Amino acid sequence: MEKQPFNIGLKETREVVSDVREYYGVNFDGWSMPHLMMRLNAVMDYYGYRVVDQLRNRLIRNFTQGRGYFEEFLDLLLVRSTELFRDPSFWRVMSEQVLPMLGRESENGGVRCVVCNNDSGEELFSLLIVLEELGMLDKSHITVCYASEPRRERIERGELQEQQDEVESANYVRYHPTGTLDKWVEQRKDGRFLARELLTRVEYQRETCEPQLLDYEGVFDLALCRNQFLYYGVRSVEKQLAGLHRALRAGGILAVGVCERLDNVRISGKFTTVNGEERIYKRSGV
Amino acid sequence: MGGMQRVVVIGGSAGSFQGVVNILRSLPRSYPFALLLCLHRLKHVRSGFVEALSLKSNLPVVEPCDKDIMRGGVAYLAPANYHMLVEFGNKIVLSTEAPVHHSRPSIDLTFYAVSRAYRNRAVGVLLSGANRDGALGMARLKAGGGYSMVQDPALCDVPAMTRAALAETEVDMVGSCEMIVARLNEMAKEGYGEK
Repeated sequence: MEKQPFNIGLKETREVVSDVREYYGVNFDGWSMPHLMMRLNAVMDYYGYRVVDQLRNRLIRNFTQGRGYFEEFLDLLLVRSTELFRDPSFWRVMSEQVLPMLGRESENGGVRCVVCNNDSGEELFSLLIVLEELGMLDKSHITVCYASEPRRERIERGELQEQQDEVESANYVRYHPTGTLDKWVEQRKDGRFLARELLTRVEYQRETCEPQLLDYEGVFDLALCRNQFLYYGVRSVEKQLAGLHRALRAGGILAVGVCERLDNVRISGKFTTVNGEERIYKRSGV
Repeated sequence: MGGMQRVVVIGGSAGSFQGVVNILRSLPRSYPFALLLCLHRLKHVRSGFVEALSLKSNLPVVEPCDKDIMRGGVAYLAPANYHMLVEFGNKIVLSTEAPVHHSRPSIDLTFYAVSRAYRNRAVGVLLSGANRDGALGMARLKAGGGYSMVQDPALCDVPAMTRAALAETEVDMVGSCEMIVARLNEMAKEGYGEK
């Protein structure tokens, strides 16, 4: 039987949000409601639940059994689906212009980057491949934000989605017509993985679903935050952007998704456009 | 646009381009409803499609960004490799969720979202296509009180999509693109869905 999204109603969604706040101290108020409803529906599908009370009971019951179940819930809730080298033209601009520019500006030729997506790691992995191809990876530091432990574990293993093989290979060729993704992907018995050596420069930073990078000030040369803001309301986006602005150094680069834009949020004046088509911005000094 | 907006979703895939063009060039410039065009397209081709539609359309055709506000009389084309949903407040929201029926944008997801937000002010139109994306969404739109129209499968280049919708629910109208345009114009004159 085909699965249908949006079976969960608005009232039921609010009940789950209230339960999570009360029992786990996590606030989903910043989420965009259609997305939250779709994701909760996906969680219910995963567990085979037909009514929301089953999910609520599970969350409340499992509260006494430790955080593990909630981490699994968070992992299921967050959107996983993206792909390596999504928007190949963006990655070409990063490889040919932005990263070399940042490398020239730094003392050692490397870059300090933060990847703020709640995706399944593909944005991070794409960045690592590009840095390695440019000979910059061993001089760079990459911080990846994560909101659930299962997600972090998969990213640490470099786990890729099996069914994305063809799509990602095609994306890579559009980004690098004479190259092949096979060089960077290992096919093992238990699945597809990013080449292990690419992950050695990565640090993991635990954040909420709406990362605000409170531990960082003026540190990063580059912040990748592509297709993250889609899932949140404007007020949440403003807070996340404020965090990114604080964490980037003056002149640091912010990249958002190609169908996201900053001009509908109040903080937009603190970034100038570097490449409008690929949504690449520079943090102003103010 | 004052009051709550009516929204028309037009879904299509293989063989639907001419049908969409026929609709866009036949609706008047003053058409009051927002149109959401959820058309299966190549995911890596980000330009050209909206330009091709714009050339032949009386209405402006745009690819929205996330959180853009819908306006009446504008056709919004779902960007390549994003699902297009709507939120209360006439806001378009985009998504990178997994493809549905191998499609992103998915017609089902747009129908579901518009039906949820607009209920009896939702209008769904399904054109030619090769898979069943849109069939369940059309049924949901109809169940939610919206008005459903399907291009006659006999007139579709590829009838699988429209046949799937007809198998899923009893739609309000089956007809040619000319008949669909006529009905859309009637709705505008009736103030369809207005209480």
